[in-house]
Amino acid sequence: MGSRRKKNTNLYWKQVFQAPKTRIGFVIVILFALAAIFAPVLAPHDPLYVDVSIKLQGPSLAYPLGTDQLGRCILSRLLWGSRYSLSYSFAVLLITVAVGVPIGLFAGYVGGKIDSVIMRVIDVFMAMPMFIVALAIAGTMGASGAHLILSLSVVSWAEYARLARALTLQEKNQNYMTALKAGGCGHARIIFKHILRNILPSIIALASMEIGSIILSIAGFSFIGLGVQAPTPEWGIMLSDSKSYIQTYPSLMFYPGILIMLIVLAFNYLGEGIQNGTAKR
Amino acid sequence: MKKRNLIKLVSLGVLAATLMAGSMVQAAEEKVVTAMTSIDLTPELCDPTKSGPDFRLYEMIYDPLVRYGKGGEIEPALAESWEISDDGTTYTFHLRKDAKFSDGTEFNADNVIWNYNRWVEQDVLGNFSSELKSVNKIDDYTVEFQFADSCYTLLIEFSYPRPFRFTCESALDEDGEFAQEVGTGMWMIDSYESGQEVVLVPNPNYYGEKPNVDKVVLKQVVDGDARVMALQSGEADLNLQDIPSESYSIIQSIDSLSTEQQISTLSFYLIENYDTPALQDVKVRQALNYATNNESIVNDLLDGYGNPATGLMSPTVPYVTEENSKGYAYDLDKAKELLAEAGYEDTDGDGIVEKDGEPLTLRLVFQTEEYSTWKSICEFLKSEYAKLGVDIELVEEESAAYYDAIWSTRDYDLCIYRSYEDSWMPHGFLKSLFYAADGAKAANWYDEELNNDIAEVLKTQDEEKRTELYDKILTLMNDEAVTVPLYYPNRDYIYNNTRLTNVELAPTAYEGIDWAKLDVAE
Repeated sequence: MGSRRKKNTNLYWKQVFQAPKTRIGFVIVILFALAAIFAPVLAPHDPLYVDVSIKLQGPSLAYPLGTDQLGRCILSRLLWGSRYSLSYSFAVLLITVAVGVPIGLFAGYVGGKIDSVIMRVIDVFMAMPMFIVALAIAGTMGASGAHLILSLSVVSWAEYARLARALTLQEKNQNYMTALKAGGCGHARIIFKHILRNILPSIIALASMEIGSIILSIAGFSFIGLGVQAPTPEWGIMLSDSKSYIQTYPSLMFYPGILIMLIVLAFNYLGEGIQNGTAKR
Repeated sequence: MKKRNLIKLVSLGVLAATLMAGSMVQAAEEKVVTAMTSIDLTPELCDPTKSGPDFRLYEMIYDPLVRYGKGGEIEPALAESWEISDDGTTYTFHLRKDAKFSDGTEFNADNVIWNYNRWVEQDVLGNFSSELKSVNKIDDYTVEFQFADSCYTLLIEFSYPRPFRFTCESALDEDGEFAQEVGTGMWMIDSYESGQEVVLVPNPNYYGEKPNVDKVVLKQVVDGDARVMALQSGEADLNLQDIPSESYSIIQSIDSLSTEQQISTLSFYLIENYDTPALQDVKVRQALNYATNNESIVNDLLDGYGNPATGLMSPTVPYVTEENSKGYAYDLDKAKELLAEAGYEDTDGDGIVEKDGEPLTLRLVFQTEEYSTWKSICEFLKSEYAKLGVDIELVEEESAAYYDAIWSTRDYDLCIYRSYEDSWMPHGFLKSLFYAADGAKAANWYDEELNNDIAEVLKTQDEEKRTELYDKILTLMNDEAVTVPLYYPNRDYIYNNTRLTNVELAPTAYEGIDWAKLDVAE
């Protein structure tokens, strides 16, 4: 049975990657991930090193993409920026999945009154507008990267909990459940070994669709000053800093903008592919 | 019956006249000036006794007894003339007889008394450097202000845009709460949308020279670049606020835009928190001053728009001399030396100095709404102080939280701020930020000697003694390095020269433009 499941899984991923869009998305994501991991090696300069005597220069050998308003190397800042953008979004994703999925599993599996209570709590969190929460947290605790991760997580875990619960309810009514229970399988084993394994592809599909919007939110909140703080080389901050130069040095705005667009597009392609694959199954 | 007909006839006549007047104004084409500011346009807060955000509205709508003119000359406004008793405590003002509020109410001694009662009620008399004991009506157009002590600044304090300006009963609602802006000034509010725009029209009852234009539309445009773009597109005629320094090249390349530059009394500096243990050591404060490259800030960062600071206050401020505001010329080695003398050393090789195992990390609080250049400056300072081994944590606050930090929570180690301007310099600025009465502690820097000296200088009528005292105060502030002065910005008014003519500077920055002379090209 184990090998058949493996075969099935392989087939599933094969199907997913058959679509060219998914492959493009995957390649771009891998490239960005590599850039993020090897930023310290790849970056020609310290992204924080300020030298105002060479500010706002065009591309040169030493500075392949030129320098910004404080004479910092733009290429280095972009490379380091991918590290911040990706790690922050993955942190949010991890937290939301790690919190949301178990809660959803539990609620769906147990059912009854406990389920109703949990669902109402989830409804409350689903009703919270992300922007207001981010504003409240930044206002009371101060704006920082960690607080931004917190506010994004607070709002988005509920979505995973809801999805996990709905899927669990579906699985619970399958015939194999009765078989498992009759066979004397423990609750924990049923939940984690069987239900979780079966609903995981759908969760991954949602997560990969979601990560693009998380990246956008992080950049967006940093752009308006509620997120990561200067002088961190984060794409949203770079965009925000360069808006004064939109007429004089539009390239400053172009680079981080195009990168945000690319990575979000890539994740969306990838997510779409995974979702289609799941649907086919 | 006849009487009723007469009333009908009269009202018909009035109606016809209004209609005709209305159409005539339209035919002659209104002269409208659109000006942009970044300060909150909230006329509903523009009560003379309250701290409404935009001084310009106060200046345009309300009149003081005396006005702060060119070069600090005190000029008549609602008071035609005045006398000060020999002991400097009694001020007698002779009011002008032709002043009327925009609603038609007469301005006279009774109105002054009414306003005085309101000042008492609203608890704003603390804005006078001396205790105001009483205000007496001598006759309908003469009032007498009785102060406890003689303070040289009292007449200047009468000229402030707030709180000692005059309004009348119709400004308040039934509960005595401020409801609308009624003043004797050149302008009155026609309509407004809070936080967006205020439309001002000439006050028909204004006693002075009538303005040339029919309407001034003040628009709140917070973003500096948006202001530049609005000027470019012709959407606005005049910009009253600073613009990002990098936009100057755009402005210069456009023929239809001209600039009037005001030599301002403004300066930008860092507040040092006296509650921060590290900053209680004068050597650390001096080290920060020596490590601040003011020349580079102005020349490299701001492309030369501004003047590198020496002392806290610009040389354009009275009593500031080269001798008493020497400042600290950039000298990184000297700064490092001082920091080492203070006991700070980098023992673990992470580039940040420590003392007793505590790394020297300072929170630098800033905002970007009012002055768009502050963010770049703070980032620049962070990198500069890193060379000294001082770690700076940058904290951007939105405007309200930022002012909270300055005035109430004091939650910062360093905070970028600006001096006051014009009539507040230097006494009002010093009094407000470096002085506190009754054993309280000052907002910016507290030093007992400094506190006592500021209290004394306000009461010093003798010019020579006053100069001496100011010398002492400014020297102390300089030697103790109680702030980190950065630079003195220029104040530029950019306008569309195909639309506006007679753009002349007013004596004070809060007035900005001489609104009476301003005209629109035919």
